[in-house]
Amino acid sequence: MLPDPDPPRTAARAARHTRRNALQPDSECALCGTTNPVALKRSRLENHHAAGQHNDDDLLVVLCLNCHAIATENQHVVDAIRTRPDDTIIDRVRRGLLSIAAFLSQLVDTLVEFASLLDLFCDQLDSRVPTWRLELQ
Amino acid sequence: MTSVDPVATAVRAWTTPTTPPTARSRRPQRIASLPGQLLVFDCETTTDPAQALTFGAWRQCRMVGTNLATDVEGLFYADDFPDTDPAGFAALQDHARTQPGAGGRRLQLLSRSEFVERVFFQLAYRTRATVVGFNLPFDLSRLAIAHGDGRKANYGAFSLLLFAGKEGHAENKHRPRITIHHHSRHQAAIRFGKRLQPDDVDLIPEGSTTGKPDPTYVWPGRFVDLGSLAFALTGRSHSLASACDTFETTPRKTQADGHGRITAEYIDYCRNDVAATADLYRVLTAEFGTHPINVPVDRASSAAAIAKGYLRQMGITPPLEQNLNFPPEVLGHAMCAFYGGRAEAHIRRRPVPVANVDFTSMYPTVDSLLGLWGHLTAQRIEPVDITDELTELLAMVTLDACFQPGLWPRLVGIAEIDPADDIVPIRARFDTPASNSWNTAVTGVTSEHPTWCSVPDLIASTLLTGRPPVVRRAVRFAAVGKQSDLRKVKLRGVLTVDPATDDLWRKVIESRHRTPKDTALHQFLKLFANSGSFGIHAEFNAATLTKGEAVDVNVFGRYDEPFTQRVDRPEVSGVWCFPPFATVICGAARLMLAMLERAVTDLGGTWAFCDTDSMAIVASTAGGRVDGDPAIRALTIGQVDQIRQRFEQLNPYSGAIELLRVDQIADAYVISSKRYALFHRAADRIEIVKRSEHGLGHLLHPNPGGSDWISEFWHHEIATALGLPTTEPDWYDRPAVGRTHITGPHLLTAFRHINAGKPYRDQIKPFNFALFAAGAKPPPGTQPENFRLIGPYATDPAMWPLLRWVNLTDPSRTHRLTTRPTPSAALGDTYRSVLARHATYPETKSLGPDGQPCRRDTTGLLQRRHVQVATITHHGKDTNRIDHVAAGLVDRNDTRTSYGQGPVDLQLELILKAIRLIGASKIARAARITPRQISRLLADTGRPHPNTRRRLIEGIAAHTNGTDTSDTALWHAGTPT
Repeated sequence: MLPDPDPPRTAARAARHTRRNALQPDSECALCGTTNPVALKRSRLENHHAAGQHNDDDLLVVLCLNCHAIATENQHVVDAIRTRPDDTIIDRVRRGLLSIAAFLSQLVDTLVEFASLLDLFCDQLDSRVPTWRLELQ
Repeated sequence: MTSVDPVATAVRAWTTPTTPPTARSRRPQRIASLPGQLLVFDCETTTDPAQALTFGAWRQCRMVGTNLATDVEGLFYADDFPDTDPAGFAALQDHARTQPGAGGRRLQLLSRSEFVERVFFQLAYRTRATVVGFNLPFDLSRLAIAHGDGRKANYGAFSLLLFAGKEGHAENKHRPRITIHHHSRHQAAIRFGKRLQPDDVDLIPEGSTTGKPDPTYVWPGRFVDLGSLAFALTGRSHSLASACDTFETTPRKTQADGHGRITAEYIDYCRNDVAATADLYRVLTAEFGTHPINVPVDRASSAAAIAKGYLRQMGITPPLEQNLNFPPEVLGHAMCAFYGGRAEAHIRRRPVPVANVDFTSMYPTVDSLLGLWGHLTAQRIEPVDITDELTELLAMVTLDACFQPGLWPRLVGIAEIDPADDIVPIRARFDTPASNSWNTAVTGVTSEHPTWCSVPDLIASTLLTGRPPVVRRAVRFAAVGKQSDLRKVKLRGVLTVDPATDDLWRKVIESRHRTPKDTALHQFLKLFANSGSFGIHAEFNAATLTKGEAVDVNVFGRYDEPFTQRVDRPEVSGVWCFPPFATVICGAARLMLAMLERAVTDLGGTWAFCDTDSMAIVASTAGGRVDGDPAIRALTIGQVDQIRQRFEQLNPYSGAIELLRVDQIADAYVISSKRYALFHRAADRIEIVKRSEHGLGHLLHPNPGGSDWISEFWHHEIATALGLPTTEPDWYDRPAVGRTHITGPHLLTAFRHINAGKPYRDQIKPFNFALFAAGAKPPPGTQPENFRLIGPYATDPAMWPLLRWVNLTDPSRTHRLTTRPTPSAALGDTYRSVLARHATYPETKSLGPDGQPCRRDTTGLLQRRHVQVATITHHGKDTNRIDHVAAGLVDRNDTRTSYGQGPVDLQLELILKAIRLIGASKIARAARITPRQISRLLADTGRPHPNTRRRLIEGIAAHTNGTDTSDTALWHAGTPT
């Protein structure tokens, strides 16, 4: 990696990004658990409007850049964040619910993935440390 | 002078604003954890009085876990440095080109302007990084290109301008100024000011959960002065070198061969200073992080701040928040009974053998004996009338009874008495009537006016006089219930304390004695107990108002009803301030000393001096008369040990902790209160083992690089008193000069004529070091009043007479300083004259062996000076701006808030009595006022103007023709200050 030509300015940019997104020093991605280590000069976390910004500006979830991109794509798939001039409050609630459902669906996928990873982990332990179950009891 | 002297006295008062404070913008919330980014920097300056920036070094660092990573390192130089020092600039360029910087990058070289814009602004403001330095106000002011005086809420502060505008504009208003408000040697409030058109993202408050800008928000900055933090963690003042040594940083601070000439070695020295400062930050914050408290590190400027953080963490609510309806008049009465520690000289200017004994952790100990932890954690505190109970107790109390721990919890209270030669604390003007010096003494007091005292003080009086004081009314502070939100806390992450069941201070002292002395935990527990057990309950700070502004306050003092007074320095009590606790703790400490005094005198002995928690008992191996003097009899060391063992009955601690311990067995030489030395003598040799520096500590070393000059003074003084051969130190005839900082506009204004017409870099600037000439006299023909000489800073004593000195009160002309009278120069005190005055400083609150008030030439055994209260006025705290008072730069009276006598003007009553006695026409003639004015006074149509009052006093004094000095003293005793 090329050396940073202006570390103070880079630090300022990262700090302002963190502030604008209301991220806290101990924030982590709600889906994959990625943290924002201080060793990184640019934040890899962002705020995701779970119900869509137009539908609810305050319902925020911290996500990493990857998970955020997927979450936003999912919102587009269910047509949850596109706004129209003749929107009523009922339309907004409907789309907000769809948007949250899309996020929860992603969360379900993530939990299933975690569970399968744990399965895999247990299989590995069974083969390498056969006594581990006894030791944990 | 008669044996009972009339004196003016003063008591403290509790004040509240007459109008509720207007809603002020809330202080921005700080989160206790720190962001990772740091800017560490240090400046090098010229060695002339201007102390202008030459160059400096900086580092951008990050805390990664507990380690420190440096991202980039650089140097910066004054904008005009290439012109003023081309060789030095070339050395900087060469260094930056050839030497690698920390963090594996090249060393950056920036001008001051580039540094403040591209590094300081980006990191300190935009990134909201922590700015770290040692003595930060000085370094920040080196970066400034101009300054202003703080206005409104910032009155008394400096406003530093760092960013120049473009195209001839002096200031870039799109960049913030820095405001620095000096509070004390170890505390300065540093913050950014507003700027024009800040970006939206800079208006997002710290810790915001929405990320939305708040148009009223101003980022205050986060500045950590490691000098303050080191003081808070150790209780001692540190230089960068001593802090690095104490906390074992890597690297340590190095010494420069010489300052001023810029060489490669000197640049390395500066970079090393920044590296040491950065590592000191790492070590200090790690140490601070061991305390599980929610106090931001940039607010931790004293050990008391840490102690308060712990009390909060334990879930304890401050007493006045917990007892919102506590009667303010009782707080006022408790303040009236509040006096500091007892400090007295008893055998003056005469070497005597002593056993110096001291009480283990006096304030935490009496706190524990009184059971005040139960009060602090109580659901509520109720004042309960105990007049009859106290009268009965005082009638039967004995020294033996005081050694019963069960008595002490009954002493948590105050009482109003009619003093009739009772030995109680008093704050009075003991020396010349015109003096402004107020001293506290424990002495025989008689008064026609009732006085408030703590209950322990009344027990002490009974022990010392053998008869009880007459009690008018008494109040005990009873603890009821227990606060419900108390939580266990681990002190320094190690020692678990349960505030609901443990006595905090007892546990802390016991744990301290179980912990090895050289450990950080031992040091912390000592500091924690000393700072948390007493001082926070007596914390008062003088509020800053703008010039000419004054506010009305309700004064709760010796009366049951408050009176209103207009003051220009209102006092604000600390959050944990609670006068009943402070008063009783101090009173109990004085009771301990009174018990010790009684125990010593009961055995036929005496003592040389006492100071708050210690007493030097005259004692020797064989005991008996000292030098054949029948008045001074030494106890044997065995008898001292008997006394020590007697106090063990009161010992609240388990384990091998002695309550009263023998600190030194040596000889003592005492001048007056807090001015003493302990020494060992072998034949013609004297070895000073302990000496006070009270009254001398504000002066510079007269012989830089030489040995401890204060010990040299004591050595010479004692040797002279003993008739031993001694050589006078060779620095005795040098001008006595001290060092101060230009901490506020009021001091800098003295240099305005010296600064006039000079470019900013050559001016005397905010936070420059400066010199003051102690006790300097004006040249002939100059007004002698308020002559206070201050001068530019120079380390070499040979330079001092060559400097341009300025009188603070008339800075229009400069003076030369000389130690021999000349027609044109100011006459400075020499160390010889300062030390001669110091060596004979009278203990005015005592009488000499001849029964006369102690004079400069008084020696031998002193006696209590029994006094009659002439007037009682109400005062604020005595120790505001203590450094500048010691330096003579401000009058103590100008720093103390006076609330006056209240609704009853005792002095006026005395004046009217005298007028009726002597005759109105005679007094009118003598006072040079009209008989009609006197008639109005007698008709009770208002109070006289201060000038009229002064004339009346002078008239009465003149009428007595000075023959009745006690009368003269009585009138002057009540002169308002």
